Amino acid sequence: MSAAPTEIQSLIETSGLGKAFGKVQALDDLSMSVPPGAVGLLGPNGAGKTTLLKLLLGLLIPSSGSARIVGQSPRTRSGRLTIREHVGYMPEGDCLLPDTTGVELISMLGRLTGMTSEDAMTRTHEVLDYCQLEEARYRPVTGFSTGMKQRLKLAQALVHDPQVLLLDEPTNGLDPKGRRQMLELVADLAQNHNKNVLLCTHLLPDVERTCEHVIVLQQGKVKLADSVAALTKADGARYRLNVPRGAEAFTQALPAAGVILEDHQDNRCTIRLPDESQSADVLFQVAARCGASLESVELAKSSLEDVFLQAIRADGETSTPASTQEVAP
Amino acid sequence: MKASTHAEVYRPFTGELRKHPLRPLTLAWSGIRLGLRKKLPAFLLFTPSLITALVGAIKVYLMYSLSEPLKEDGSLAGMQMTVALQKVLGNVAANVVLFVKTSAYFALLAMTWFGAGMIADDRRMGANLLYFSRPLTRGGYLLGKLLGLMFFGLLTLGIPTFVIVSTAAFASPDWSFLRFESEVIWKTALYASTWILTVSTIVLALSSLVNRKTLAMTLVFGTIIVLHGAADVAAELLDISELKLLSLPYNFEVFADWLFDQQLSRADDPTLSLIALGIFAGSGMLLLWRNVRKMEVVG
Repeated sequence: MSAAPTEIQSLIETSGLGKAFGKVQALDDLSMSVPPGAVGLLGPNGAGKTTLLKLLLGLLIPSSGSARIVGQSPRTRSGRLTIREHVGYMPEGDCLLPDTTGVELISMLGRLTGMTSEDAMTRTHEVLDYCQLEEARYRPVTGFSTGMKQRLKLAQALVHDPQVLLLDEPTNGLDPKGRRQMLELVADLAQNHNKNVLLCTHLLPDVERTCEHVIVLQQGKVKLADSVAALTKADGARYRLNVPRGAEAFTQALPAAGVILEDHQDNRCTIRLPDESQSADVLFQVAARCGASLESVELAKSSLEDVFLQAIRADGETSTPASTQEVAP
Repeated sequence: MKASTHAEVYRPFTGELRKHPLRPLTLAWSGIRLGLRKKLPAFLLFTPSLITALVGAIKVYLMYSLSEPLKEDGSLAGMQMTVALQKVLGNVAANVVLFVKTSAYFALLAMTWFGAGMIADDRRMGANLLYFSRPLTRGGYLLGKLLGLMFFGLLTLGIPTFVIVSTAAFASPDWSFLRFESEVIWKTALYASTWILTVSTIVLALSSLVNRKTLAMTLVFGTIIVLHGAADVAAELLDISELKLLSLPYNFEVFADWLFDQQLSRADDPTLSLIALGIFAGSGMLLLWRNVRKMEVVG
């Protein structure tokens, strides 16, 4: 494998990147820097994720702005060819050639990338083994199940051992077992084999499970970009409480003490203190005053789902995107 | 059933990527393999061409093997037999030309069958995303597809022509075919190449317009047959012979007659037919280039 053209400080950089399809603005003045490692690109359907991947590969021409990946711009011919040599792309749709077997397809794509026939064939068997398709390698791809097709698409993205993987909805249409297998492969590549992965999905648990960083896109704009750890770290002012006795009186007394009640279901509630430095003792004082008992008081951690919903509602967005309905509990 | 001891491990690639691999050849070879995978169509499409080649080769062989001894005999009966034989079999060059002109239509059938799906299937399946996410230029893609289709043209027209010409060369006494009629060889090669290139370009251009092989086949036959019929009828009705230039078979017929020094009718102008063929191939190439560009840059 030839060396990367430059040492990458950031995997992807975009500056004022825009793409319009007629009147629809798929990406709007997108400026961001994606760090190396495993990064999740989250967003509801139509947020512009796939458009961004295609722009990065030079499969689309931007309406405005610029982008760089592995230090190259997809706007120039040489840049495009270098990018495609160093990037493995797993498209979203079923784009496999009919009448070919797994081995034929992957080895042909390996040769197209620049491998010799021998290297391509050896490598094909290696990646098919890795993607757990060793027994199906000589079967026509038209007879593959959805899970096998997804793994075959991952295998073709890996055949030339690229330093960057752009994975577009890799768990689309998979059953829970297939999804788990796919995520294990992605996580293994990112964590144990130093692959830079841009995982494009609308499934939050997929990102939570495999990625270190997350970028949330909505309506073609970056709504949020940070590390998963930072986004989901405990908030010093938020607590989850279990109030087995006197919960009603307790929750009614909280506002008088300056405590904000965020959520309340049966005996459980989530509250926010007005100030992070304030001690949680105030909760016990309120409980004592209204005769309630507190069984547990623990700092509340935000889930990625909370963060995602907050981010996409930040601009007054009130409707929950369809994709979030699919988020596993 | 997978062995419990089996563990899939990711192994990094330690080889080198070639700087200038022959990507069009890889693509062409893949197209050829896919095309030949279905045995029955291949058998049905190559058999007529093969039979024509065999009949042609036997005929040419007989011409030399029977007429030469009779000529050498010098008797009146021998001379009469030679004349009768020539009446039945014709001369060698004319037979080669007739064979090439006939086989060209078998080649059209085969090339349409094998070529109609070459780009249409890629479009339908979205395989262009797999190709163009590799360092493959659109020129490389186009050349790969053209080479793949031209191979089928070579199988149905080029190789049989080579067989019949070789038979003539080897069967002729003292290599007389090569010494005195060698121009038939290069003229035949030129005619076959022009046919293969023009038909490949048209078939691929029409294949790049649609998403289904069947639709592309209909489009190819429709375009050629409808244009031919319409051009013929319009030329007759309006009494404008130039309208025949819209027909691909007509232009090839005039081109062949001119190339092989056969008699042309007064209305036939080989220059105009050559220009018309150039326009057919050129517009096919332009259409192909435009559509392949749209396949690389998908939106």
